Amino acid sequence: MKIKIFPLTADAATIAARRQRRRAAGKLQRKREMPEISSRLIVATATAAVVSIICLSLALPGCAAQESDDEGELHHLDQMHHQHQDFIIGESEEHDHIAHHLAEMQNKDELLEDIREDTVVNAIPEKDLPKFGELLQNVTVPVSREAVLQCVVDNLQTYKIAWLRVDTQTILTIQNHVITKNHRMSITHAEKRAWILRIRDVKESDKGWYMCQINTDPMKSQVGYLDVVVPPDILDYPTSTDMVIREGSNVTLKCAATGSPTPTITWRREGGELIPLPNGAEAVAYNGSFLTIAKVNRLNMGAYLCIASNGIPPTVSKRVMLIVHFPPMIWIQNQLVGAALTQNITLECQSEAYPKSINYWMKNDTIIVPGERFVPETFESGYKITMRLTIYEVDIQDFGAYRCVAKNSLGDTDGAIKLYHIPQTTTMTTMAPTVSINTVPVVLVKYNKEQRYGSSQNSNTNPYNFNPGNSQQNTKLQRGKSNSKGSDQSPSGLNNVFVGATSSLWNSQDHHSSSSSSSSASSRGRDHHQQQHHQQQQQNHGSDHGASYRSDGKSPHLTNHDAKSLTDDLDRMQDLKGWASRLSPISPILGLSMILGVGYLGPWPG
Amino acid sequence: MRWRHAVRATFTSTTATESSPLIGKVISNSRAPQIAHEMLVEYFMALLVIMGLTAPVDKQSRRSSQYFGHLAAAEELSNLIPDNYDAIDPVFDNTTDREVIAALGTTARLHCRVRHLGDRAVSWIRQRDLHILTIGIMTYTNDQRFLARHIDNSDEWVLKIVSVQQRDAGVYECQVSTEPKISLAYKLVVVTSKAQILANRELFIQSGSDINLTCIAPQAPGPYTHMLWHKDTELVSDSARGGIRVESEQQMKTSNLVISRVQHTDSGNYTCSADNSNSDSVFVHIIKSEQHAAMQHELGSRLLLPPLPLLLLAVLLVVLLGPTSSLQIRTPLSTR
Repeated sequence: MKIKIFPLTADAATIAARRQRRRAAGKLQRKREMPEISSRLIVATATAAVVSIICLSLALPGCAAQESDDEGELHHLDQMHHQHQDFIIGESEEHDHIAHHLAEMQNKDELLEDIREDTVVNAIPEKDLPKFGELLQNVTVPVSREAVLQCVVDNLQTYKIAWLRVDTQTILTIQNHVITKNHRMSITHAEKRAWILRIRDVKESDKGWYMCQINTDPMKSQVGYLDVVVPPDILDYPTSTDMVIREGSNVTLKCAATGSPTPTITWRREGGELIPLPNGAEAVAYNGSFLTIAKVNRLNMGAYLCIASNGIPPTVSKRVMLIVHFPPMIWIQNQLVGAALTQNITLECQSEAYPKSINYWMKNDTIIVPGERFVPETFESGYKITMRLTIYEVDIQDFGAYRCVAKNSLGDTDGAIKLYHIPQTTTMTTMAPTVSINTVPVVLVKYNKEQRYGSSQNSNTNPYNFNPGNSQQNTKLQRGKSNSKGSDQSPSGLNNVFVGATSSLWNSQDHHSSSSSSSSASSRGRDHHQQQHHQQQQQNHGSDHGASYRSDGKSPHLTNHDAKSLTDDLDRMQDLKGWASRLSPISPILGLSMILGVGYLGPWPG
Repeated sequence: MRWRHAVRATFTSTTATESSPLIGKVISNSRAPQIAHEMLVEYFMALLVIMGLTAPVDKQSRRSSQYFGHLAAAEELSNLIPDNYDAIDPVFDNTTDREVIAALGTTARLHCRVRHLGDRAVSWIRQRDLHILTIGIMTYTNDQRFLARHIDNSDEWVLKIVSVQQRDAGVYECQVSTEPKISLAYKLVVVTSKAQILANRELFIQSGSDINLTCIAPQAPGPYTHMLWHKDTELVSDSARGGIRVESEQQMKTSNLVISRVQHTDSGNYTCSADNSNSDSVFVHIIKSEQHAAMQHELGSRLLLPPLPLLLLAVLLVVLLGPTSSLQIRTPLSTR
């Protein structure tokens, strides 16, 4: 750093002058006021005063002796001159010079001192003080914009203006100089009376009171408030994130936001769905930071929007996903389904579960593998699943208990659907109208009993029973099965009556085909020769079916029907013979059957 | 006359060349105004005598002041650019006294020390009304009793308050213009100190007895207090009359005045004064034992008079002290 010479000199001179001033306090204090007054006297009487001074100095006899003291006197007067400049601000150089010159002479002639002392009081003029032209306005500015504070001062003269920050008591500017090192501050002097403080890129911490100050004594000042508004912003913490809740428990969604003014928080659901309120009511929107839902259910699952707004755009929102977990549930519309042989039938279950469940079908404790005849389908809609199992060309083996199963991480459940056989009686009606009318009820009853016995035998001979794991599952499933049976007893009865009547009227053809299949099953237990014969009959049966599919006209269908009926009659005679040999001792009705059979055999030999 | 002035100027410049460059500069700068003034005086007198006009003198004076102004400006400009700009943040030196006690009417100084100032400014603010007092070494307030003092290359910035008033008591803040600002608060306590003589306002002492007066000034500011005794208008000293002794302890701020075997001439007003404090006085009456009855009557009549003489004495002290100091200043001049 360079050494400042003039300031040091000025300080030394000031100190020396003040030391002398202390020694002669009274008189020097008076002299301090004289220069200002004497400068004005000189303007009016300069010539006369100067002339008189010169005459006196020349006339004095000790003038030569005083010359030896000139250095000391001049040194002293020089310091006084320096002080003179400090105290009188704004005086012209001309006046300064004249006053200085007079001060140089005053020690030589005491007469003038008395004159100046007399004029001290009268010569001091009153100055008009500056005043504020306008009130300092409060300003509201969005964050990161520019704030402009304006201070209007009239009649400032040589006084100075300063801006301060009241909250932190920080000096910002003085006149046109920015004192603070905050580079966002700048000062402008406009129209000779407005002092404009500009704050660029306003921050929230700039909010507060600002003071405009004039250095009068006493000091004058005005204060204005700078309000910095901030758009809302949602805080990631402690705002809730996506939540996974178990159905039935309580949940509280939180949302916190910052901004100035403090933003208000509103909860809404996507799609305008209703929000359950704490008081049990429902509304489209809810105001508050905490949204509490008691006993959450699956209908509450979805996206919730937290919306924060405080009037300063943009309004912001955050999406919170509420996920409700619950174990699977199954609903079955038709738990008892009847079908005729070779008919296509569809079983359907409705299930709900979240997380998504694994869905499959089981029959007799065996998982059904999709194939040509068993086609399972699944349709999803949100957490709802529709399960459909389509069975093509129902066979005797297909009748029985089916179960639809749904499993997820929270549990599993199943539903039971029973598929039963609907026989048909069309052939008898067609062949022998008179005789068949009398015997139709009897025949129907017999066929139903046979069908039930046959199905039980099939289940006993199921090869899958040997699997130990499968057996455990079967145990569990059987429990569910028994429960469903108990609850469905009365509906099944009603369904049975209804379905039976319907199928007898409309499905006579199917009934016919089912009876033929049962007869073929029973014939397998006999001799090998008979099996070969049975195989030949099966081939004929298949060809008949093919012919029926290929024909499109009505008459070919009738022709096939007649041929098929003759073949069936022959089969029945053989069956009747077998059954008669077993049951003849017990039932007298069988005797009547033999008589009827003999009646049929009569025309064939002739 | 002119030749003598020329010889002195030459001698002065010769001395300057022999000194160090720094002092040389100071001397040359300080001497220049004086030489200019001498020349101005001569020109002024000559022109007035010969031409009787004042305008040419004004022009010359303007040129001279402008010349010095330019020189000062150049010096200031060169000093405004710091050689080593400090990027370090300023730090306060907390060793300064944060609480200052000043007596009414005296000068108070608040010392603020800041290191690594760099290009920041040090300002003083009065916390009472946020009035800015000084910025750097510039006084902002129009109350000229507030001054800033700073020596270049030093860390100290002093707020000087001249003629402290009771209303000046409060908190003052030394502030550095960093962002955000750093500041240090100082507390100024203004005390009204008064010396106190531990005795009645009037004492009646028999002639031939001893007088022992004790004066204390416990509230006087500063660690040491100088105390003086006056009798009427004269400083009490041994030379005036034998048997008078003054015992003072500056640290304890106590002073004892002992007068042995008082006489009638010892009657008068005794005043104790201490530094930066108001004085206290007692009036001592010397009683003669033979005229006991007559003195009682006279003392009764005097009881009505004491207030007025005290006031007059005070005025006399004030008036006389001024001329005395001014006379002392003039004495050296007359001896030269």
